[in-house]
Amino acid sequence: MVSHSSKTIAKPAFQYAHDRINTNIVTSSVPAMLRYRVPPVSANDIVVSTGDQVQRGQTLVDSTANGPASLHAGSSGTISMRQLHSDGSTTIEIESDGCDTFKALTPIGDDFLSMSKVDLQHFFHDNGMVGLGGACFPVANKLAALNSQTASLLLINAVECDPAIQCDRAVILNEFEALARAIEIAARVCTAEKTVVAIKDSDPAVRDCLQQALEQVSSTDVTLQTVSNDYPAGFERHLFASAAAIKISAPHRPTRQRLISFNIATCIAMAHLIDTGEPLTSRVITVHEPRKALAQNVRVRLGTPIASLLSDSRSSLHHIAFSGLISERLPVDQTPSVSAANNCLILNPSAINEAPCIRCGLCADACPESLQPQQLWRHVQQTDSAKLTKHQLEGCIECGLCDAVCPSAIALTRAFQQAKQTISRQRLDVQAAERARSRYEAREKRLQRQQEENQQKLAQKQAALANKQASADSDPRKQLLQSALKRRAKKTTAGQSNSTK
Amino acid sequence: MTGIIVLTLLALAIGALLGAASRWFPSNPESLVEQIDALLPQTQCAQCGYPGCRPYAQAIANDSAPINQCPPGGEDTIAALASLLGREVVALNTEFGEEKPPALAYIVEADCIGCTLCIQACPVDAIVGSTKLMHTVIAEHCTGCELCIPPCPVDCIELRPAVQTAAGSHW
Repeated sequence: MVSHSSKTIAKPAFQYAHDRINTNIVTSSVPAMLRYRVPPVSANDIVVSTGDQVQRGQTLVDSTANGPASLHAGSSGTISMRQLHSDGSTTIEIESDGCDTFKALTPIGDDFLSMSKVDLQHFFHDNGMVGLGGACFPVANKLAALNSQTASLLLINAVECDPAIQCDRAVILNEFEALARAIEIAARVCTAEKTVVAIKDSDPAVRDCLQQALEQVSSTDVTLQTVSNDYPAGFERHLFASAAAIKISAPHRPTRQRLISFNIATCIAMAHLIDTGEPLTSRVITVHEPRKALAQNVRVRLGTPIASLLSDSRSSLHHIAFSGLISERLPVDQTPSVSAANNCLILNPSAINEAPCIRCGLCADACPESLQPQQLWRHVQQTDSAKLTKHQLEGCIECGLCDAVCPSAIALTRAFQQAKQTISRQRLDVQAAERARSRYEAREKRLQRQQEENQQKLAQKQAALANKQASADSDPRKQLLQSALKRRAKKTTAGQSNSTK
Repeated sequence: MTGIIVLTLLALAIGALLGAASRWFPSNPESLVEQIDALLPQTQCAQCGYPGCRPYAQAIANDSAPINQCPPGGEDTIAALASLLGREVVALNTEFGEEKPPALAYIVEADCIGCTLCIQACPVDAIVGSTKLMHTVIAEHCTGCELCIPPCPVDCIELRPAVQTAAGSHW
């Protein structure tokens, strides 16, 4: 009999050890081609066309407010565009001219203090500022969700709990002069009453760096808080609970309770934008490559095709994972470009052979949200949306722990992501059908009413005509005329009959 | 012996009750139509041979139409109807049309002469415009039923693939 203790694998044996990642940041050279995929919702916001010459930082997609943030050219060069997928998304490609010239920048510096909240949101939106923690959530939308209130707590997330990722760590250790300013700016931007910087308890180098930085921060009430290193400690909701003892119930966003959180790398990028005017065009990612002892932290331009990041371009890759545990396994010929959402690339993770689910329950033990992934997996295979909703698929935070512990190597997280999308699409379809039905019924009613009205009008007209006829018949003069006509007719017929005789 | 009598009496009593219930509370055919209608895609395209989704639902409820005449609904709708009505899943009858990816009507506005014929054809009032003025399709309300295409005298209406909100949305 298997004892329960032997079953729990809270910390799965990860193949990516902490000390095998190089702390330095390597800046990758500008690739010959930058490629951006623009989703169909933003298709009308594209402001460049094929043949245009752009400079680095120039706007490519100028999105409307509340939508995804704007997109900017990662380098100077010539634009070419093409329609990519059947879903209507467009690909913008920049063929680099090798000069990497920058458009004229206008840093706003401390002017941001006097800007209104809405102007500040527009500023971040127009400069493509999104969260660099992995969710890619636009900063402007997060600030807008505060509804112009002051934030009671700003949580700066420097936990980076995924064992395969160290890009935030690299940024903290290499750009430590920028930390104090970044924290201050983040606190000012969301007018936070209190700021907490959360770090994991197992990393003294990061702690020292941040402690030094916090000593320089004078303008705001800021404290450092260590949390345990168990994945997924860095997930927003979990972190609010562990670092600030605030519980946020599942579907709600923290901003509902006047709470806000930013990743430390996002704070630094925000400060960089304010002090230099440079829109978001690059980020640091951790790249694991096969047959390399150390993984690298690389600063790459957003839009860099993943294939150009490989040191050995001939290596035959089977799969590429885009984040650490949250891995999306894609064959190499389908790999897209680096986006702001990538914080890690794992190239050629061991070839994956899925086996059937043996219902061992390891995933249920590993799930930080106490879901039943094995049950959800069964319902995904049965394509049973109702059961999936009943078993709280919506509560899945897509952390990838179930994938990591699964002895059958089933890509559960990917399946759950797709199932979530399918369910939300089905929900939209139902809403659209409901709308179409009510519009159809309204039209039917209107047509019927119009027909009835027409018939009524016709009936009235006929009645009026009949009335007129009747009243004409009762006119005495007309009667005289009628009788005269009758007499005459008789006479003529009589005359005719006489003449024929 | 008593057992037999008791059971017979019980059977008679329950039978009488059930008979009475079925007479006093007749099954509601309206609700069946509603249930069927809820499963139909509400495209109102009339491809099934009935003037709209509800009339088709009515026909299915009356047993006068098979469940495989709805091309926009496709296999999913047939499966849902089959499980509701306890019938067998059958393949879509392609005489009525084939299942296509969702599309929306789009009026090439430069070519529109403002004849209002498409407005009259649209089953969900998704086209706005006026005589001798340009018309346009309200994409949010368009069901992609294609009914506006044949009446157009200048062929300025085309179908464009509908933007899917969730990418890669298959199981």
